[in-house]
Amino acid sequence: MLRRTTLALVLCATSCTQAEGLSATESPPPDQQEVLGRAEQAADTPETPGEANSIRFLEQSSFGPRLARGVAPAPVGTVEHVMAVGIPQSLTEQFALQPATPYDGESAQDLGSQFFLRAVTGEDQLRQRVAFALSQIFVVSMNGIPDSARTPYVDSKVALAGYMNLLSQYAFGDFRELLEAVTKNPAMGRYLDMANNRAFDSKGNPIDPNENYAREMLQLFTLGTDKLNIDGTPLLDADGHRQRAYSEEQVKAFAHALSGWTWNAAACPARGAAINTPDYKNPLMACNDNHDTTRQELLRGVFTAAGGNINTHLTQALNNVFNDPNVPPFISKQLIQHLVTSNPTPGYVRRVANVFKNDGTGARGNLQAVVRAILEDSEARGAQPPLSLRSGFGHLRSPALFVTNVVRWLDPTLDTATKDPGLKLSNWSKSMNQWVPRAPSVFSYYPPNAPLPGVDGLVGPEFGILDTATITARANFLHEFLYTSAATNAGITVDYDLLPSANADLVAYLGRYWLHGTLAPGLEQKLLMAMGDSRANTAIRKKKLALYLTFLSPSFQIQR
Amino acid sequence: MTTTRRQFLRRATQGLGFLAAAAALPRWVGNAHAATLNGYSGSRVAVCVFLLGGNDSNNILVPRDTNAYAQYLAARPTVGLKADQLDLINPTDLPAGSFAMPKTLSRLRAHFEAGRAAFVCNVGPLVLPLTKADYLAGGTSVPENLFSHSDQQDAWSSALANPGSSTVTSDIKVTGWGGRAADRLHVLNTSTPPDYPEVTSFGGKARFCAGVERKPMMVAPDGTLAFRTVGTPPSDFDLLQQAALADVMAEQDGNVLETAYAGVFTTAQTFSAARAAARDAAWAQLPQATRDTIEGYFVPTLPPEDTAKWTLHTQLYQVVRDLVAGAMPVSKAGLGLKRQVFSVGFGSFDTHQNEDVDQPKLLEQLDFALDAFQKSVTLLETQTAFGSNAPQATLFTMSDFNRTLLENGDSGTDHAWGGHAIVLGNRVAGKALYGTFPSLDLAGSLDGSTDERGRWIPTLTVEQYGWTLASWLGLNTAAERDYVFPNLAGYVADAVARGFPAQARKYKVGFMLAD
Repeated sequence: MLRRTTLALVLCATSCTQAEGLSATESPPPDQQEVLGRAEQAADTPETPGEANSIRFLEQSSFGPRLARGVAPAPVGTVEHVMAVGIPQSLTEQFALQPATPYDGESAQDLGSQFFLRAVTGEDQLRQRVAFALSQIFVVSMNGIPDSARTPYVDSKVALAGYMNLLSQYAFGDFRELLEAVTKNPAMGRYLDMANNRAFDSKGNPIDPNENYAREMLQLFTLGTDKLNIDGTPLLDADGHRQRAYSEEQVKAFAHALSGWTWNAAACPARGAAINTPDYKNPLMACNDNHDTTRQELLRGVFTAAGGNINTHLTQALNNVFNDPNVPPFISKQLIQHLVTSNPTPGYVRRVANVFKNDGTGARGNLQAVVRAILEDSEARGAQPPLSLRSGFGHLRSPALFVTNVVRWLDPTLDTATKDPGLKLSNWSKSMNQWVPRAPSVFSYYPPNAPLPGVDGLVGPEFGILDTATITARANFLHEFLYTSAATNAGITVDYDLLPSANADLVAYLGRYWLHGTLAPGLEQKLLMAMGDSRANTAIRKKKLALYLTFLSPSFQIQR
Repeated sequence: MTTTRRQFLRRATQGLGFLAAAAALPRWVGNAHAATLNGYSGSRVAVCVFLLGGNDSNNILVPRDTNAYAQYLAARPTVGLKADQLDLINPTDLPAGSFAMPKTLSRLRAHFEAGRAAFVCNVGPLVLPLTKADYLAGGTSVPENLFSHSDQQDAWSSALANPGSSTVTSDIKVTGWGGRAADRLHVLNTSTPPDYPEVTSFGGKARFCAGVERKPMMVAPDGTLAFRTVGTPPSDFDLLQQAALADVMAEQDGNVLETAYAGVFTTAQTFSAARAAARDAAWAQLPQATRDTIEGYFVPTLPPEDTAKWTLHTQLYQVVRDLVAGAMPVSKAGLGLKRQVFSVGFGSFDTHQNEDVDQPKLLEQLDFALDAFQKSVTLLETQTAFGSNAPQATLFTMSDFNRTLLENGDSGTDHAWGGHAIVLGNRVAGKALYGTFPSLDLAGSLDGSTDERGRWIPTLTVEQYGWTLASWLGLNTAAERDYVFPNLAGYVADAVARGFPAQARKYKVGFMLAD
């Protein structure tokens, strides 16, 4: 009777007083079951989402769904709240939430710990989730920021804290502004060598500036390697070949156009000289003496102004790349992959990319509108993915999302006063090869085009770090969490009495919530069989066995 | 949709009955195969060391004749190695004093001089042999996405520099040449348990390890791969949980991502216990003194603060442990493998900045780890515990690309293309340079460089390099070659048709001793 309950909740939450709504207390007679099916469908709209649709929305837009557990009114971020206010309104609420406490680079607490605590407990779930996605596109790794003895703080930590705050701040902002803030950010400045990138040597002779930032900005932050159609598919030439999105000459041109920036300081250094003391608390400083003021040919035949100054050239360069037709599909598709599904249809990419191009008011690059378009799209919504896409829909939960979803479903109390539960969560994620915020390279934890093993033509980005070692770590994380005192010792205390006790009740609960109604009969049977085995000889072991198996089941691991 | 052989195998590996079924399956995996143990009937392993980020190999092999060295220093006044940072080497058939290696690679230099190591010069991803004019003309004969880390790592790993335009099937395009070699070498391995993965990876590039049919064992860099249990040894409850978990993996709700996840899970569950047991048992077969000596080789001699973050030597130590497990006969509780491929990697070679400070440290680490591995293998070759299956190993390097000869404004160098690779082992025809060392004259014709910054157009292709190693492992027919290295036949044919130098017209490079 799961469907009936779902329906009742939806209707009660949204339209209890409407004449056509079924009363929550009435069971329809058997001959109206089909009518009920249609009524349920009709009720499951963005404004009046059903339970499964709401759970799916929270999987896509937060670090894991939660249940209200009798708290009224249902708190923001719970399944019941989404059902009550609908998806457009839930998004509006999330967009309005400002970033919670900023990341603190001078606190003793590890940044990974700070990240996981915010992910597990924060109210601004969508902002953090989008910022996390952006952090995997505009990558700066804490491991790539060396410590200098010249600052009174830990360079890598202060740098990354500032950078993570930047991404939170711009998560629903303007992409052009985000791009400029990233370009001038000191953490990025160090990570990809934008800082002290001079166009002259110490004798004042022109030299080739470092190409690192220019190249990765084009390849990873804006364009990708191939020219794209608006729907994200490659734009082929007359011979059917892919075309490069930019040339080597254009990489050099951008390197020249972006030359001359250095650490914030009291004054610029002489031509060819550098500022050697980093400042990770302020944006990079423009020093025209180290800038190549000559005219550069950018993308699409656009030139920078001859004799222009360093600021003018940066503006021209970033405007040029921002207006490239590759940017909307390239960024939109990756955001879809992070939030919803690894293999969106071209139509889905096109619908979102069109919003990136124009949010309806004529503005390009409005990330808030883009995120709304992604999460309200018909391909993302419904109690289940569209039938025709179901066999290839979804994405493997990344290690960080696997950890946070487990924690948020189990809803433990966290002792942050005397323990460091966030660090424990971070270390578990690290064991599965996602050590936030320490991506192994500018290509992040895994590449957006990693092939899905065994399936020709589909990608599975998160599968890029799924192998025999990390999949074992997935099981071992869960095992340690459930069966040892590790979680408790780190201040994470789960009340297993919150879960139903009878075997059948628990399996039904797991199917209804954790798998949002997609519990396959075969899996249900196997769970019940394992729990009924005499070797699972205590009530708590039966329960934990069911949790272990469900969390590791293919149906849970793939967020659909 | 018809069920292909591969899909069948994949499904077969997802059920609990896999082990039982696999033993009864015909070995059609190697249909028309001709891989042989003729080269050596014992155990052979190839070890790929991936230098992630693009190693500046202009600094691992430096010309010392007056003109070239002056050109070298002129292009890199800061990052170039000074005379007192270099030691001469004496490659066969070259004038004395013509090349040097950095002092940071002194152990490797000793192996070179003793004939156990060689350089393969200016090798890189290519589709067809290229002149400068061909490069400038562009088109599909030029590798795709040159100078991009991810694409060039993939090009080295897959030995397919044109994944976009190549006509090979898409299932080949997502694999690597280590994995495809394993697809064809599989027939040589009659291991216990059956179908133990040929490729074991502790790091490096995952793509290198993936075959179409054969999937790698990926292991944490510290060597561990084991599922936690409540009890030790596993209790009844643990056994129930493990069996139920294997059962649950078969429930995939008609979704291909679920299938892919379950496939990886099943490989891990099936082979992790066998691997752990064989590693311990095989290691114990070696005399205590041998084990102690090998462990001693891997203890860094530099102060701990200099080596705390080293990761290569620990990975290569794990390779030693796994190759001992693999080579040890089944009768002595080993896996009894004949052919294995290992992958390790370490990073931070992307020296856009401060290369003069950072690269020497990386090379010191490389030097130490390679030397420890080479000495270990030399010792293992003589161990009687292996019976007739004693291991032989060849280690080889790959890297995203070489770097610009001309340094940038940041005491660093930028992304380039062809570079010099290292091969090391007792079966290497060492003390030699293979291929053609590029002209470093940036004021000259630049025929061998894409531009004025010194980015060498390779004169050997990754495929020639890889096929030399795969042949040593036992592949030999044209069908095997064309399967593992789809572009190689076309490359050689084009080199012949257009009269390229002799080295471009051969399938292999001569750096392995004849069997």
